[in-house]
Amino acid sequence: MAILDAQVNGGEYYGSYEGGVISVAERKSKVVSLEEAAAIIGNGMMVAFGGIHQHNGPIAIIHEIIRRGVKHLSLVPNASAGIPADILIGAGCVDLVYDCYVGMEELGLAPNFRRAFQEGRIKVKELDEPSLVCGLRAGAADLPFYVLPKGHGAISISKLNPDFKLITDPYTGEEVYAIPPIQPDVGLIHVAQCDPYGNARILGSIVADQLLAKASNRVIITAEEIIDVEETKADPKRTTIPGFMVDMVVHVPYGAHPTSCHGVYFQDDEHLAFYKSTPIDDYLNKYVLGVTDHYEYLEKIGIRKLLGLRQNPDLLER
Amino acid sequence: MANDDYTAAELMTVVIARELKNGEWAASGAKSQIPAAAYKLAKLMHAPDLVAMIGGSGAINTDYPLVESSGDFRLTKRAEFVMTLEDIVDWEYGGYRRMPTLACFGGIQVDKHGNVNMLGIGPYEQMAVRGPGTVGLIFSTSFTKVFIFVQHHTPQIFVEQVDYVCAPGQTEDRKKYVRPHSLGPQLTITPICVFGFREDNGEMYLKSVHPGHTVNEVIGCTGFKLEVTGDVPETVPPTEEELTLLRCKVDPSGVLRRIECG
Repeated sequence: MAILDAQVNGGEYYGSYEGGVISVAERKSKVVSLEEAAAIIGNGMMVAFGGIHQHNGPIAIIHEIIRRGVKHLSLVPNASAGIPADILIGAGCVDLVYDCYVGMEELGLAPNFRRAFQEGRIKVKELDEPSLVCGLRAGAADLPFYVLPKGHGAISISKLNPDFKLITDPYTGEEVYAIPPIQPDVGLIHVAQCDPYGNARILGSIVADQLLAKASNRVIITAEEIIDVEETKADPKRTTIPGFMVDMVVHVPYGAHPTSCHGVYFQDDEHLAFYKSTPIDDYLNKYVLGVTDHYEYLEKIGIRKLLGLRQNPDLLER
Repeated sequence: MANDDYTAAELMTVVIARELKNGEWAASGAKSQIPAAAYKLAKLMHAPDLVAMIGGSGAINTDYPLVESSGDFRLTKRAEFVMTLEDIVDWEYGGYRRMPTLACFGGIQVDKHGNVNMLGIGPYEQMAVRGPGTVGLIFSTSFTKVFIFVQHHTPQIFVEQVDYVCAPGQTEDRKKYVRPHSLGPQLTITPICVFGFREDNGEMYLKSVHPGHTVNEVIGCTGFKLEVTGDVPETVPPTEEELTLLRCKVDPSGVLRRIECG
């Protein structure tokens, strides 16, 4: 078959050959609405989310999960989670928390996590940084288990969490702890930029978000900005999470508010303090259940506040 | 030249900074502006090759001045490298093979052996206070050494025995489960004093009392029995040089002067 002519036009490739004109197959965009993305999260699923402390929390999709009334989740928060975990627990969506740290850093304890545990409304799987990270590693590589040194024998969680199992290291005869893989049904990750095919850029701290993308069975990226794939290809080293690990992409400006989105805007300290001091039902009724969608939430926060949070890394004071 | 115009947090920062040695690898975590500042100060004074890692952000050797949140985006903008949590777990377990590693951390309870609890207070099924969780305190079993710091010195924090162990102190369990390279807690720094650890029984003793505070005050604020024999030295207050570097270079926006500590 002789190729007579070839032409690139408007991003599409046409080869003309003796039989006529063909066009090459087109990639499928992964961009969906926030509602479509949240709809894959059903009752009883294991849901994980990325970010750290009051940064890069996928708040917009978490609000949508709450509005949908999802129940009985097993929640795998990031290694130091605050409001994204606390609000899901406060809204009654969660039965079990894979806990490494749920707190509000400078603002102290996470009020709804604390209350729900003390009142017996949630169970906790007691983890820590290495058991969470290595559990996700085992999940990512589909390993049967991961091994930790016997130091965990000296701390309480090895007794409180039956998943810590003593085994014998076949090479040294020493005792070590086995921990099982963690494979969340859905991983939620908020980023600054993402192209339609899921190639995502975190413009600050990656923390465990790459690992979460590998360990989860499905991944939803919420992004401040959708960039063209040509922008991705111009600088692939900036891609934090490769698109093939991503199932859905949602364009959600200010989708992390009141947490920060690294590289885009700061956390809203005032709003976080307001959250901490407000009864959860009042908060939910005003900001989550009392709005129809993310944009109505942003309207309640207000343009003045939102634009005031834009990041300028050269300014110490804000 | 001594200067008595400093805050408890600034004094604690200086005390920690003086303990750090050149070439060590030092980590700080959440709500840890005091150690984060101490690492910066030590790097400016006597330990330029100290490696400082601010957990949360993962930033290594950031030149960004002290900020409130350990996960602040700006910390990553003037850093040499930004570690992922996977990097941090690997290095906090295994980095001691290459250089002395350490961290400073506190908790909701600390007992006389330096066990630290972040998990909760009360029986597991009926906790009075559910804490955040164990987070990265297990690295107390792999770091070369650790320093304990607390921002409040109260009998509720300093207890005879913690309800849950998240980081083992100088205990029999440490001897049984922890590899010998990991020396455990070396000092406990509070807003009113410094505790050391006795070689013979692993219990804390009063090493120095901060200026303006007394031995009796420390005993009264400590929930475990503290035996004090002989004279206890006064903590050396910050020097003019230390305070100047702290306020002009490390913490120009005054984070340390704003945090609740005392």
